[in-house]
Amino acid sequence: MRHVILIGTPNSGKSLLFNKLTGLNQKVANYPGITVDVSSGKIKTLPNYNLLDFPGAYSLKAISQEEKIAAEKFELIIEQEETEWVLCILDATRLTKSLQLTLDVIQACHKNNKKILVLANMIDVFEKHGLEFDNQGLSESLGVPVLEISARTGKGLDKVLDKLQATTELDTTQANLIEGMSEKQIKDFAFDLSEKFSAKTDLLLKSSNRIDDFFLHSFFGGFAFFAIMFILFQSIFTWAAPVMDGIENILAWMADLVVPKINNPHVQNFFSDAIFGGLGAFLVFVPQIFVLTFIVGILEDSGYMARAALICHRPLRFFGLTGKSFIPMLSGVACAIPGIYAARNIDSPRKRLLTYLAIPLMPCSARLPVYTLLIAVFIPQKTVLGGLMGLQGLAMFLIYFFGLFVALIITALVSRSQKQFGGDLPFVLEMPPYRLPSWKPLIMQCWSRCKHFVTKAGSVIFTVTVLVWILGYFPNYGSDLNSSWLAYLGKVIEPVFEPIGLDWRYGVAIISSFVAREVFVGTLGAIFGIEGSEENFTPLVDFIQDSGLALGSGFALLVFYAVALQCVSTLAVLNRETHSIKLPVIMFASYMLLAYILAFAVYNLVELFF
Amino acid sequence: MNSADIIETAKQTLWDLRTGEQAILKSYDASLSKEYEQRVLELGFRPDALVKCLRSSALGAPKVYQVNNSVFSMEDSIASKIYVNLQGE
Repeated sequence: MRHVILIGTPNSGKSLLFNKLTGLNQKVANYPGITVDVSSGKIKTLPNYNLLDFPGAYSLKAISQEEKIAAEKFELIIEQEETEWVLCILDATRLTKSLQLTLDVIQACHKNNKKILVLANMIDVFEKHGLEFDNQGLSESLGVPVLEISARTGKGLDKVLDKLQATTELDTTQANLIEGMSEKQIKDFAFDLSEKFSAKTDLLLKSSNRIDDFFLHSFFGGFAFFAIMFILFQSIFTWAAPVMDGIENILAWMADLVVPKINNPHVQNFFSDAIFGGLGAFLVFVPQIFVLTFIVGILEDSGYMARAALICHRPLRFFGLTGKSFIPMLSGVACAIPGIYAARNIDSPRKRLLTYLAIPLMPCSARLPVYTLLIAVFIPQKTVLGGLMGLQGLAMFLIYFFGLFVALIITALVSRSQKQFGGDLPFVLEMPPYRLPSWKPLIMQCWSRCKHFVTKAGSVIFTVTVLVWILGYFPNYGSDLNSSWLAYLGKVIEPVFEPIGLDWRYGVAIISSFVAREVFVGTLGAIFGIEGSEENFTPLVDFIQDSGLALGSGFALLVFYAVALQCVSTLAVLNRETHSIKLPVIMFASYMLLAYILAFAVYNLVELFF
Repeated sequence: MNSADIIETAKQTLWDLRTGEQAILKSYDASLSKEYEQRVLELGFRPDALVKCLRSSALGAPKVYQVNNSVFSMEDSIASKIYVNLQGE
């Protein structure tokens, strides 16, 4: 297997080219100990060539920790015998920002005796404006082949593939000149080349700047931002819902087909609740992941994402986050899983990590049934402010806000206290020209991400669901949850929850809701012998009120659920995205501890004053 | 203090530019680290480059600048350390 390195500046069309050349045959390479994502995939038409997609960089002279790691990784891989080619992609419409890296890469290639192709991308833009790009002249100046391509239209890609297969000797004349250049000479040479070969007109910029007059306008821009975020939020919350229901219905239909054919009642229960329940536990997230990846992909490809990051940057910077953290956090209000995937758009691994800390604290939709139940138990259905506001609605708003508040406090504290989170690059963000997204690679990316979730995280979620089923089913074969192993566990941990006024039954519901938070309601209903409590809360609400659960306990439970990282799906996806068990374990333990401490404090305060 | 001193002390920076204003980049402040100076050079913000402020906000949000054929947003911690000569002065 031969390696081909693909490297280029941000917004040069590198990812689009990578997707075009590899199709669906790609994965994120896992290099232990290195917090740099390098995707790799076999080139579709040349399966004996493995294409390695490096993160975008403006030069190999790194100025941040992440850039140093990426540059070291590049030097490591370019030295390997298996590495045969380097494809260095540049944006032909904006040469100035691309040439520094191109010269750095040419130097590195000649130092390591590797073949290089410089790909002048976005040539379709030149053609559209009736201009010509002097790739021949640039090639003579650089001493390496320069091919005109358009990753968008596919123009020139066949020539790239032909070159990869041909045996090409290096032209060393100009290469020797570049190899001996100092840093300053490289910079001056890059400037001279950009003066000579850059397009003399502002290609694309005039129309992009006009669009920015709207999207970055103080009033209209803000309005557009909220409208777009509203659409994004609705897409996950509302539009994906029918598909999620569809998946549940299909699984229920399959269960109805399969289960009656099984004679043994215990095996029937196993298939119905454990197997089909386990499949449903992760498949139900697929529509949300697909829809969010699609919409975020449109925002990224179109160039709007950079504008959204600019709008959000200042308020989020105070909390240690970046403008690009906004969308993953907003997605987390619907569901943490697509939010965690959306955080891949954050270039800085440190900022991405801080965003991971925030996402599970967003008030996700799975918390909603728990909040609704507890608020119905303890908060009267009264209105205040002359009928303008309901107390229950106000309580819901406050608990939602509490989750967000805790998230921002945590990221602010962690970013200030941990040295590796400080000293990040100052905010200099390229605003790419607005472009229409490329639909086929976008759909492929959505499919790829769903596949990644199902194959990597799905197995973990499925396993835990089956495990919880086993604990609840045995030893009485599902006849009495109150005397199951799960109940036994609840009684074992009862001393932990007694200080906040909760008995073992709530402990059982808390353990079972580790699979999915909303399971808390159904489990509590099952323990109290109330059927159908997921669909109709009222009998369960009445039962809990009659049972005399303390007000402080109710508030403590609310706070506990707002903070505790009680979702195996989130932990599984965090594990897969960070290629490490460390972060999910630390987050689970810390948030559990914090949730308990806050719940304890709230219980005692409420019982003291009310 | 003579007029040259007055001019010297009233240096304009990239951060001072308002929407629509253009300037020629002059130099960098000594407090701008070498790494960040290198980065802005790589992006095209080099001495004698023509820079145009496309967007500035009164709320202190990063401003948007055009240099060569590229557009970048930059926050005050960097932009206030890049000296410019306003066009039309």
